[in-house]
Amino acid sequence: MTDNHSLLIAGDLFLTYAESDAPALNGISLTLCPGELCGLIGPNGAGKTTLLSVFTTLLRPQRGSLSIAGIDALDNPAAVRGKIGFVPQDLALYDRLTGLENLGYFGRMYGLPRQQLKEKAKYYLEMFGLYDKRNRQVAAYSGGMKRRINLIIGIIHDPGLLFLDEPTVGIDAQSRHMILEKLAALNHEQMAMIYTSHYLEEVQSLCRRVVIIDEGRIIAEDTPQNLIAQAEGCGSLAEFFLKKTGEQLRE
Amino acid sequence: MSGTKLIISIAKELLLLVRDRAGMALLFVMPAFLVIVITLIQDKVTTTSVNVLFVDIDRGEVGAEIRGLFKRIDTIHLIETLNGEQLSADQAQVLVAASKFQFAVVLPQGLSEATSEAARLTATKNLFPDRREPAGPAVPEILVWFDPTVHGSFRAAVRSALDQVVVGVETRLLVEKSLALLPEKLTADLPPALLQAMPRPVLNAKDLLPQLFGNMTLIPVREQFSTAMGFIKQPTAVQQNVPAWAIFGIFFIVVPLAGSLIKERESGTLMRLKVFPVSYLTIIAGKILAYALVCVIQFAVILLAGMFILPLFGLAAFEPGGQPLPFALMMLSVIAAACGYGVLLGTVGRTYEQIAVFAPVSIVIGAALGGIMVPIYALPDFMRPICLLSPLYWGQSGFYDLLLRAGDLRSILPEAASLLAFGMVTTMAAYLFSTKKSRRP
Repeated sequence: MTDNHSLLIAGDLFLTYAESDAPALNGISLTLCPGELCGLIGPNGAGKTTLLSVFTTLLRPQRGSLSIAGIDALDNPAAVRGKIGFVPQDLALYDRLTGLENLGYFGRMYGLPRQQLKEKAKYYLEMFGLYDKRNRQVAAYSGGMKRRINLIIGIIHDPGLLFLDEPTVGIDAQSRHMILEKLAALNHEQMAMIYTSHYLEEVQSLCRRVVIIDEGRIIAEDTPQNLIAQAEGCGSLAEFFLKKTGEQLRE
Repeated sequence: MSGTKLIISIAKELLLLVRDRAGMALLFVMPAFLVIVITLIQDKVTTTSVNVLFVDIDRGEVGAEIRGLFKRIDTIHLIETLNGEQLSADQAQVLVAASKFQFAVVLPQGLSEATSEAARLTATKNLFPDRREPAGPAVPEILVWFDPTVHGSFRAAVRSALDQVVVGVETRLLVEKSLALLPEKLTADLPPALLQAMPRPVLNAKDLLPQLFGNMTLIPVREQFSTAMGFIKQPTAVQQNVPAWAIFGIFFIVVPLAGSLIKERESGTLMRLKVFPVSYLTIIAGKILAYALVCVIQFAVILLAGMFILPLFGLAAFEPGGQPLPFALMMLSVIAAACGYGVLLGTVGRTYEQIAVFAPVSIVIGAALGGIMVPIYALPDFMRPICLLSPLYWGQSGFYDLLLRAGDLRSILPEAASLLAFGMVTTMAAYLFSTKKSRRP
């Protein structure tokens, strides 16, 4: 779908890093509709993080176009920033602040009024099971709790479009289950998401559409079921992924 | 730049600082401790006398006179006995070689006799050029032992004091011997009638010696401090050291400030904030203002230490002067320069380890060049123009204008403007570096 109803329209994105000869993004075009949950997968070095960096206005590609919520994101990145949410792979938190103080700081940086922020913080802390621990310094949180607060920061302002860069890496099955469950619920409430992960079973169960990129290009794009059905003898997205990208190790 | 977001950023920085209680304690205590220690050291170095071992083998009038003249010099303290026993030359040498003492002066045997004879021969040669006298004994050398670890300035001070003493003895001996020969000279050169008309003291000129040398000081010397604003009180080590080392201490805010920027970059929070609708300038300004507030408190702690703690050690109390506005302007200018430098290092530096080494070393170099460690007038000519480029020099010079040269707001404006400009340029350089780098692949 590439019409005006799309929340994100990326056209022919091309980006090469200064220290590299090979392009990290080599003509990627992608659209995302409101409320859509799209899985973005690929081997290491395929260009996933670079693509997310372009979508989140951290990087400007050398070529191509990008529109987010009807705004030209390449020419006017500042206007886009309040409309998107980003959950980085790093636990980008202040360890010496409490969970609530972290939310307070990042929420105010999004421009949320104090009262609205208070309500949102309570809502999401309860949703992710952190309300009782809200006044504890993040340094004392477990890995799963840190992942959850890291995620809440990305959604505290109720963005229409959320980018998630491996939000469940390094946590236990319970925390992962909770995060996926809540993401599905948020998506149900029309929050569009682009989700990257190396846990392909997560992507298969969570995403209605999957985009596989390799060497800066989209090499497959469809629903998980259709992708699996495309290749003979594949019973899962992981098997399809290996068949499509090869089994040799990537750097 | 949003005012609310700026205030929230400042509050966040302060909260992070407050949570690091040990770090905060160090931030406030260490600069004040530094100022107290350095001021005590500097004060004691300038007012404490130097111990000099004194071995008088000669035991004659020259030795007694040298001893007497040395005792007139406040900065020299002679030690002639150890554990109640008279020192020998060998003992003195061993003690200096072992760094137990730094100087020893040994007056050799026969010094008085040989010096006296040399003076007599010189006076005779001057008054009776045609007279032939047998050569006297060679004057033995006064030996001075120096500890090799003694700095050149100390060695020069002791050597200068010794030279002063030796010249005094030589002058006295030459005058004495000349006066002794004067009646003979007058008898030989003047007609008898004129000689008989001369007053008796002239004919016994030797007796005049105690009167002549009773008061050695012919030309009085008065110390006065030259300032554009006229006479001021005598500056103390406290008044000189507190502002100078306070600036040095304040500049060390660079380390935690740059470190916090690098830590935020490493943790990903800075990158995350770049996806937020907030400018990097707001984030930097929030940091600068929070750390500037810390610096103001640091400065206050240092000044209070100068005013109330240093007197407990017998030093003069620091006097901040009666010009709060220029003083505050200088303080804020120094803080602006230090914070700007910190932000620049935190933006350009790649790792905390880099900054942990580079920042302190660069501040020490800036302090050395800025005249905080060694006065600029004591540096070689080729280094002085470089010194004028050090922000620490600007800071010190501005405070000295206020506190020692009786300056006012107008006299500190060049220094304050230079510091503020340095702060702004470094902050803008950090901002441009960061924004230029941020969206470039």
